[in-house]
Amino acid sequence: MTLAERVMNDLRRLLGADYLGDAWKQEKHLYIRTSSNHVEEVAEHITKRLDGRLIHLSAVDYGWDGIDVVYHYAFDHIERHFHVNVKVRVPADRPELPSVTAAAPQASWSEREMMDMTAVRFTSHPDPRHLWLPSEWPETVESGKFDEKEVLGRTDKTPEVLRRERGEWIPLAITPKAAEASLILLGPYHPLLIESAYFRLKVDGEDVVDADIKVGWNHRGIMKLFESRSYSRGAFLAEKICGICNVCHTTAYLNAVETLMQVEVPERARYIRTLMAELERIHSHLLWLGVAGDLIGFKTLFMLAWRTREHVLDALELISGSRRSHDMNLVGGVRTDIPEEIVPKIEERLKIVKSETRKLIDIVHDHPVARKRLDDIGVLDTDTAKSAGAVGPTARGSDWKIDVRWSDPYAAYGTEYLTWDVVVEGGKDAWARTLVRLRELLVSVDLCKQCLDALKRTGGLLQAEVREPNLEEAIGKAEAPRGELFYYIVSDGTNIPYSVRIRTPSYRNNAILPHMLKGYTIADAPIIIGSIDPCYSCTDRKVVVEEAATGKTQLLTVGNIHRKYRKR
Amino acid sequence: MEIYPLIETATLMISAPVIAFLLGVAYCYEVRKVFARLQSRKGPWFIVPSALRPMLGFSRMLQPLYDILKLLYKETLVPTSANKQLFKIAPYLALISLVIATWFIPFAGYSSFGAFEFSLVVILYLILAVPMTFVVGGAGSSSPWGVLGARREAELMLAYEVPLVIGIFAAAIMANSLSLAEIVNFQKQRLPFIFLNPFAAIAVFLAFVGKLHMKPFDIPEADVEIVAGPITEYSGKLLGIVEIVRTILIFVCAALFTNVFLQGGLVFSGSLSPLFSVVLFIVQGSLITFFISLVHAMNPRYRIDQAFGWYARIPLATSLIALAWAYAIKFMFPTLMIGV
Repeated sequence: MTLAERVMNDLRRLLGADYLGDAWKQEKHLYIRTSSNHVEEVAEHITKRLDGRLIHLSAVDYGWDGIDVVYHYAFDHIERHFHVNVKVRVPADRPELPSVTAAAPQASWSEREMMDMTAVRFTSHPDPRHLWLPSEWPETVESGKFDEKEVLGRTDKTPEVLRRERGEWIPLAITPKAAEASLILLGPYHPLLIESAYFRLKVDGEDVVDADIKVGWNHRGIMKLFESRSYSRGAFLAEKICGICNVCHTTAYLNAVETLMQVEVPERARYIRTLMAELERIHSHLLWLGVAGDLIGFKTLFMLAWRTREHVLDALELISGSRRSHDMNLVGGVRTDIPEEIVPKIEERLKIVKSETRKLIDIVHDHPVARKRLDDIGVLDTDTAKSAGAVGPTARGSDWKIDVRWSDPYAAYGTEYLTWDVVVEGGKDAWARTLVRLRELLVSVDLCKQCLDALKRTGGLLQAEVREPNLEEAIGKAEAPRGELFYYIVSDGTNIPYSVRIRTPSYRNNAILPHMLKGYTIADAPIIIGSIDPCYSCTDRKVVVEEAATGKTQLLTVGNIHRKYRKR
Repeated sequence: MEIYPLIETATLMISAPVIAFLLGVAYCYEVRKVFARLQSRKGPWFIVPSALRPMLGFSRMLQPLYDILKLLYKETLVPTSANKQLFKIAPYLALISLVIATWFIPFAGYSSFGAFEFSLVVILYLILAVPMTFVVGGAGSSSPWGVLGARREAELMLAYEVPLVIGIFAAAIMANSLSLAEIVNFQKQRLPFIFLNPFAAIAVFLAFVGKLHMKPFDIPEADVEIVAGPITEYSGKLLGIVEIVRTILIFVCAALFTNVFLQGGLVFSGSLSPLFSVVLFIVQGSLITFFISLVHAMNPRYRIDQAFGWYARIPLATSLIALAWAYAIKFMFPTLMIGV
């Protein structure tokens, strides 16, 4: 019995009369519709028994018809391409669902996000705090009943204050009095990272006892913007989500769109996409290496890594005309060709990058102090990585072979185009994650060379003909430098997507960070946070009303914690 | 103890801190330049005012000075929750102790009180005062980063002071004197201590790397971890004073090393010797700074427990060997050690 049959049989048996229908879409994507009765059992069965993983939860709002909540399960780390999507329709007037966080911890952030952004409410969620909305935001945003004036004019106590008074929830279980001695705030403004991350660390001297993370300092409402743009313009919007991994974002978006339209991308365009993505991975990993060096105080490594990165940026500039934000990918292909005369120039750059990278690897590998700072720091064992849903180099450093390029080949990553192998390390600590990225650098250089060789032999079209979308929904994935990038697009047959949902890799890895920080020291906190290569512009791409409760709400704003804490 | 005439002593007392500060600026510039060049950067790039060009050329050596001058023009802010007295007085205490320290350090043989019998002990105490005042100021700033930095500063001080003191006293034992001028004279008649007792030189050099907060040991002011450590809350003029203290500290450490281990620049005797000695003294100081900057550029930062462990192993062992070496040499070559 194949895995697909087993999953279908199990779910049929489990759901019984609630199995409302199924459909196979794309290659091996199973969509099952059910009612809200068995959501928890399904999650438990798939993640615990069948060894699947929960990628994300999406909500698609159909107005008075209700809201579709889609549970995206994946088995692609076991069997290529195989995904199961469980759909539940909740009524618009009473949008409630049982939380699956207890059964599948990966769902925690997705559910909190959905409670913040949509009307869906998850009962019995263990940690129902605001994730994206400001902490002092009122309890829930009622769908369709949102009265901005009323909310902003409220002078009553905020939900966090109320909860605290009732003794229900206190951040990290720290009382305001104890906070003076034991709460350290990393962020939102801290030299640790340029971006605004906010960590609350409960400390005992220098030791971190407990940690908490709050995101959502950089909301831009990109997912909402997608719903007002045509598919072809959406590619350029996807480019703007992240400054570092923009090719990956467009590729993932276009993977979904091209599946919707059932367009086959020409071979040459596939190679160009792959080349761009791999060049981007090289520059992203070099950038990370520099930042990681800076986080352990190795300024020289930072400078040398970024000097090497310049060669990659030059190569990218040769191809696309700009160092960042290339706008190369279009629906059905790529924008421009790579002419033959610049191929040797790129090869030359790659040669420099390769030799420089080897030197950098030697520096990092043999440096006793660097090694001491990275060894046995931020240990993430394989089971936790699986149950919490780590992706990308973070998961690969914890001995879990998971890579979209290998499990769900897109562009030219399939075995018929290129030969390569997934880098996996068994160390489970920050050093292993470093090694994964360093080795991936060499793999990526090799992939780029293969792509350039392939470009010499292939020719023909760069862009396939674009059609109207004739599937209702599709999933697009890509392996960004930080891990699995996930797009879910719902179409209503027009040239504008009905709904676009994005789950970025940093979103998953950030959720694991508090767990990884526990038990180490404040001196280790920067490199542990850095070792997952967090990217907050990716994480914070959501829709939100930006005017948070301003001066009205008093107690638990960030500034107040600071003021309280500093009173001696 | 020989006593200089009053006017000469007063002149030396006034000029010593000024010279220490100016040479400190030069050494700071050197640290920054070497650090930058090893990272394939240009480093400080500031054009010297045209009036000073005949003297300094286009060397851009004044960048650290301009940084400090800028800070002295700025407004000073004191946190409301800080212990204001401690917070304000700490940098001045450090400055005063360093200014006094410069009086006791012979500069190519010139010194106000260098010939004083216990000048070495006085200097060791005075440069110990600098991290102590940082601890006080950091703890008084009421910032979490200040408190954490102060704690790290104290731990690091405990780690490097032991090899520093033992290493310097190993030299003093061989010279049979606690006066810096005597120690320099002793070397002048025989060999520099860097040859007579290399272990002591190594231990003291490694201790100075920690004392100057250079790279593997810049733990108290680790920027990505605890912002700026004890000096996080300092601003404006107070921060300027802190920077002046650091600048002078680089000179004091380099000068101390030069005097104790490199003969203090006094090599030849002759009509040209005073000028030559001054030049040699400065060059020797810049050599030490150069090696310290090399260490600075080539290392990441230790964690405080690792740094403590490292200091408790290699430099401490080296300094103990130096102590044993001093006694062994004294025992084996008594004629070398006593008189000439």
